[in-house]
Amino acid sequence: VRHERSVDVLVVGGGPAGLTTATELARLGVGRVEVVDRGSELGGIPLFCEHTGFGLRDLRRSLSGPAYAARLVDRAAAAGVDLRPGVCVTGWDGGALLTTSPDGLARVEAGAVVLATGARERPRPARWIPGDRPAGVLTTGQLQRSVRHGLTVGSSAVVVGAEHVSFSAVLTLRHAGARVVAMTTERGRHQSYAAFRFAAAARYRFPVLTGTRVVRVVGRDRVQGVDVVGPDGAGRRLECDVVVLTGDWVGEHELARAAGVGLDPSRTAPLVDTLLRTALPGLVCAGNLVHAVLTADAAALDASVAAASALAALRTGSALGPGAAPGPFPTAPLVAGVGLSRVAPGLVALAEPPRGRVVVWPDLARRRPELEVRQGGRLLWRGRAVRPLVPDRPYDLPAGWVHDVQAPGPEVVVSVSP
Amino acid sequence: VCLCERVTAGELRDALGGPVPARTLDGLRRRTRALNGRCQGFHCGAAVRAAFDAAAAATEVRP
Repeated sequence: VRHERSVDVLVVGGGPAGLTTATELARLGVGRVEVVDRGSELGGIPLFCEHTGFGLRDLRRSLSGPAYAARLVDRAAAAGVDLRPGVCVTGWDGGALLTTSPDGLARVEAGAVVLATGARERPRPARWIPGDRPAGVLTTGQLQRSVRHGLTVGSSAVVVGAEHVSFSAVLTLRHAGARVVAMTTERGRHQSYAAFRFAAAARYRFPVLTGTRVVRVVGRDRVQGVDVVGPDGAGRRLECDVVVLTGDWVGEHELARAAGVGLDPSRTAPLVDTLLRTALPGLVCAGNLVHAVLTADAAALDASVAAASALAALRTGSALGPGAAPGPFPTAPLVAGVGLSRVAPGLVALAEPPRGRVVVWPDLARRRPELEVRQGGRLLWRGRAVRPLVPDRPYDLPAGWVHDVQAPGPEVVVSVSP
Repeated sequence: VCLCERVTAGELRDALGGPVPARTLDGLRRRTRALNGRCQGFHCGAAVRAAFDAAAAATEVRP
């Protein structure tokens, strides 16, 4: 037996972006807003991060991950959002979504759908790390969930990667009683804030090995160590019984792709414009699905734009789902140029007033370079970065130039000026 | 439990509690496909291991 129900807006994913978007929509007066999440608890990634530092930019306070998640859930419930954890969306059926849960199968019709499915870290097979295949090679996500389940994780760890999340992994490892042997990154420096790096390294006394690549995992049943090659080409073995692969995020874009939405050139995110609309009317994407990854509070700040776009789609009342007519708005592709490895979103449409965000991922370290946006050689915007560019650390670009874009039109290129 | 490969808790229970139970985590993985999907355990790794540990503890207690 399949249950049928119908809602105004269905939000897929109950993390910071999904919950905040749903709250916003309910406050804007949308009647039936529903959040489904395949996890047994709502809150997303922050649920598994016991350390503090959540909610700085959206709630203006510093909370632990679970406390932050609980607050977002309370706000959504108070706004009248229908919250359904333990519901997994399995696919599309025309314009409706099919779900499965302990209560059985259901088919949900929605006037608009917001995908806020978040991101995952690239696992070992996708990183092409050779060697033995023992137990004890994890991603941060698996590590943090294991610790929350009360499972043992090991006693000495090598952390691969040096982004914000890598330092989050260090805190979790310490909480679980494991010693950090070293942190390695292929980049020339770590990609987190200097304060984190020095505080963590001083408190827990581990070296950050820069320009270092993991070339082999060693161990029969359990990890015994990893072989690394340093910047000078010299190899050595780091003894450990856990390897944590951190960062290198990929958006959970399977549902968007199943609907027929294309991917951006980085292949990690569905194509959306600065208002987070996809080419399909009524289908909006938000949070780290679009920009894998920003911090939880930054993902939550997508909510006002995502909610406005979902509301606009509701008003026009267009059909949804695979095979639906492409959206009525013309776009131009937005791509990363010199000095940048990635830009999100992958499309620009004319938007009045210009709002939304553009995030770029630098490929080089530069103190305060000039950035520029050009379309077919025409300069749209140029300005000096307000803080240093660090490879792979996302940087928010002002989006005021969006109303000067010619759409449809040639590629819009963001680059670092020489 | 495993969302990428759509393996349910019931399937894990059957694989762990049948007449020929899976005796290692790798065995459980090969039998059910749990942990084998695109995320390789990012989401479900902890839950699958918890289920396996619980079943292993239960069989040890049995005489």
